[in-house]
Amino acid sequence: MQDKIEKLREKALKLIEDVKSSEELERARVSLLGKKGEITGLIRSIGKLPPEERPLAGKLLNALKREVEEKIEEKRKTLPKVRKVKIDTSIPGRRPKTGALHPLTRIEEEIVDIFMRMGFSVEYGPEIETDYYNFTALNTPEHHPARDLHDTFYLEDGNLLRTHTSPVQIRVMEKKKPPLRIISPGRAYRFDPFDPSHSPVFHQVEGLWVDRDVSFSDLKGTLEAFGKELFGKETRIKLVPHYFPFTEPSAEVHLSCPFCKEKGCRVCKYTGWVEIAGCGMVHPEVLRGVGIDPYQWTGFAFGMGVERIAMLRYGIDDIRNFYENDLRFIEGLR
Amino acid sequence: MKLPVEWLEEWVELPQDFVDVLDNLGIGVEGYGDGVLDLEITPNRPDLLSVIGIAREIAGKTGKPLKKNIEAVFPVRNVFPVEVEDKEGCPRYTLGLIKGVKVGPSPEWMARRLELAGINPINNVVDATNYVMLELGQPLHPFDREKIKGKIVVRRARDGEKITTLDGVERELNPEILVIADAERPVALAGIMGAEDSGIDEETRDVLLESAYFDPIRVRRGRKILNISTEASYRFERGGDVYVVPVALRRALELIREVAGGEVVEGMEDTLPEPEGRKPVKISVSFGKRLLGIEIKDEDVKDWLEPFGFRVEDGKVIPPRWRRDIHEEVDVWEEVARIYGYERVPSSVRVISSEPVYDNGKILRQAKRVLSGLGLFEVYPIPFMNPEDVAFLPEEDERRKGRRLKNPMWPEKNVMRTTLIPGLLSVARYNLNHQIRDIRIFEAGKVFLSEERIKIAGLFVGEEKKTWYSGRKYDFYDVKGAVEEFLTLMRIPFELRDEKDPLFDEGTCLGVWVNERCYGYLGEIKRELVERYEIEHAYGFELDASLLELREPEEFVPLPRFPHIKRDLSFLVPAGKRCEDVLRVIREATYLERVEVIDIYRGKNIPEGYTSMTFSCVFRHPERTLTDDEVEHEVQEIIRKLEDEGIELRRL
Repeated sequence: MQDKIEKLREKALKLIEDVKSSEELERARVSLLGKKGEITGLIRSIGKLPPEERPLAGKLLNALKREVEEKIEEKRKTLPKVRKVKIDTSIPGRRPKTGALHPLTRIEEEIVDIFMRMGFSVEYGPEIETDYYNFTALNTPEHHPARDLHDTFYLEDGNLLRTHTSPVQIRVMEKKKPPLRIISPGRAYRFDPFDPSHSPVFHQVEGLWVDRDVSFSDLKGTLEAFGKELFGKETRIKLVPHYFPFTEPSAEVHLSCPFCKEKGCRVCKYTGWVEIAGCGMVHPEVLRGVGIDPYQWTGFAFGMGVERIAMLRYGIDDIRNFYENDLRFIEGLR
Repeated sequence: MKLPVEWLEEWVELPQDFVDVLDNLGIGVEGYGDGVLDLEITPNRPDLLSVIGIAREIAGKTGKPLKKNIEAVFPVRNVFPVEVEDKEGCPRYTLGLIKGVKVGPSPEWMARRLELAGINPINNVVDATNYVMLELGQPLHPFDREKIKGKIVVRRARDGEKITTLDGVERELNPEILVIADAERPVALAGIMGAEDSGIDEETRDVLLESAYFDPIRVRRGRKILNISTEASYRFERGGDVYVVPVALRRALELIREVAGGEVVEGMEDTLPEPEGRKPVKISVSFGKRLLGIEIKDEDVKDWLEPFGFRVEDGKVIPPRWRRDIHEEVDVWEEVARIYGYERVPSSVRVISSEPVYDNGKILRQAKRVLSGLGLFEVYPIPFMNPEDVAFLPEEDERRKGRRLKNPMWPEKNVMRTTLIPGLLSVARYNLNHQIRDIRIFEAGKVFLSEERIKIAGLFVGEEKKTWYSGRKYDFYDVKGAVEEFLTLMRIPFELRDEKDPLFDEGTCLGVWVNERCYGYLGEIKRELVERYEIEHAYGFELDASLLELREPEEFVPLPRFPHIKRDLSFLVPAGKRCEDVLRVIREATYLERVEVIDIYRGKNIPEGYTSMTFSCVFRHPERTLTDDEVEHEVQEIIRKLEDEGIELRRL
């Protein structure tokens, strides 16, 4: 066996010595150390030797294998570098498949993240609501003319599809005591046929902050900070007096048009401003209804339209895009 | 509300920037052109549905008084018998009389103003009443005295009573509706519309003119039942002004005389000659400062509010008679803020919360991100469902019984969805229609069963985009793999079991089990449903989002310190045996770290009825290097066990 090994060693070293190119070297490597190589073969045959010979043979063969490997590496360094097969780098690469979040999810997340940084927690509420939570508890009793502004979907079982996310205010205040700082993103419904600016289904983010002395000034500052975060530092916010039964004072939130920077354009109907939300100080009647003393606690609430904000953000002029779900639309905005 | 500017100017001096002044007062200017303002009046301010109302606001802001005012009333005396049966429905009823009018077209100036305000001129008498309604905000109604039998009665309608209103429609009434009647029949729907046969026509000589205050709820209820809305009902249901009732009566009678001639009877019927004064509202300036976050001195409140008709004294505010919206302290502070100017309120930002911030929706948001990372597009279908889509489900399946809409937007989509799958199919259909064939979509949203539940569903339809390295048709294994990868990335310890769910094709449906509970299914969507969207094959999944709560904590697993040994084994799997049969045996092997299926092959060199499956098995000992012999032993064991099951090693 020892002889055999020695002979193989000489043969192997000669073989490597004579090699002229990388290809030849690779062939030599395979013939010696490949699966069916000579050295590999000998190593495999150790098992067939009488047991007392095995340790020595193993040792020698391992040494040989190492030596040959080293020689091959040394030789490789002396050979001219092989030029690899030239590849056509202009063939398109293998792209992994990627999907995308719907733009409404992304905007909603951005809104939620901004308010979470400001210390608001996130609450959720049902989409099928009772008349009580959607209207009555929000100081909009039956026969209140403000109900005309909400064209409501009713269910045959007497419930309704919430027309705004504001019922969450009530549900949260019933469960938890102030101080409260929450937002609630979610879907709402109104009986508005589809047109470029209406959809029977839409999304809002509701906000509510009730504490010892939350003021109208806090409301303004909070919304201003939000607007600047979402649309950039130069963004301005204007509160315009308005009416909602469940807040007082109430205001519409106008944002300086992100497209024309208040110069006036098609998007803002040449006014320089766009409406993005309704807000106000929580009406004492609403607070009393959930057992909160309106002289001990004050609070503000707002509700903003996610579609509206997404449209301003991406320059979309037709709300129906969000619900047609054309994959090119979703892909284009990711 | 449309308002001609020249009319407004008759009442008040307009500042240069009156459009901004109105906007900042919360009277939204929605349009301004051709001398007509289009104003958005919020439902709490019926007093602004008039020229005088808008004029008062501008005067309050500029500090300049109104150019004119109308306040005169007639003395109370008997003019015509009036009985109010429903005092709650009609707290104040006044009635005046003008004799010998000549009905005809209105003068040009009046007709034009009405037209600019969006009201069609009819005749001089009717037009004069509409004119005064626009001017003072008080709706009026003229009756032809000849057509009123005996007396005026304000009462509830009787069941089955009928009236043909001025618009020519015959309406059946009920006791919820307040009417004006004479001795025999209803002659008007109180606060809504008059009857055809009691109104003014060419022949009318003497006019009984009604000016009243009706209960807003009663008017609203009546007009809702009858499904009509008029300029009058619009004002009454928002709340009229009980004090202006006789003022408007006199003003209108005099205007009728001016435009239609005749002789006004100097007096009126009045059921509430001395209405109660406005109740004062107690205020505390410190509360106002706290609520608004602005500096307010005690005298500021007086200075700011009095130009708008309020009276302020001793911590009390008496609202003007026309401001029905001021009842309690906060109403006063809103008024203060509005007059002070929202734009002047400073901005305060306080970002530190006293409570830890939480969001239970975080996991769902993460799940959506993972799914989109796996190549799926998130979609937002409309959550209304056509019940026909799920009609094939068995009777007892709760997804068959969607909660029904009373007033669906689309007649066929009249239930709330009970599953997300039809919505996803409709999105697939829409995209196929637009020549998009590579459809991988998902939605995370609510379904509406006996309770609202959040589901996560996905769908593969069509084929991969064709490129030099891709272009496969989607199949069962795409959806299975996506679900497996999704749940793995979400760290949910799941198990897939052969299962049946009627929404999925039998035999290609797997249940997703976590902790011995099934949370949903994946597989090929049932033909009955898919065909409704003219789709051939759709592979989908629908999982209850509550399974996300079962995620395992992130845990550091020490990296292996010893090398593994890998063995690839091919088996000939006969029909009747499944991949899982082989995997199960392989997994029993000691030291096995993992096993992958690396090749599935049928065809050449493989006997008919067999499938060649190749498994790559990785063995590793955690504390030392494994020897070949040890691994070989395990491999032989696997081969032997499988042979017992009739699965032979494929020898090359």
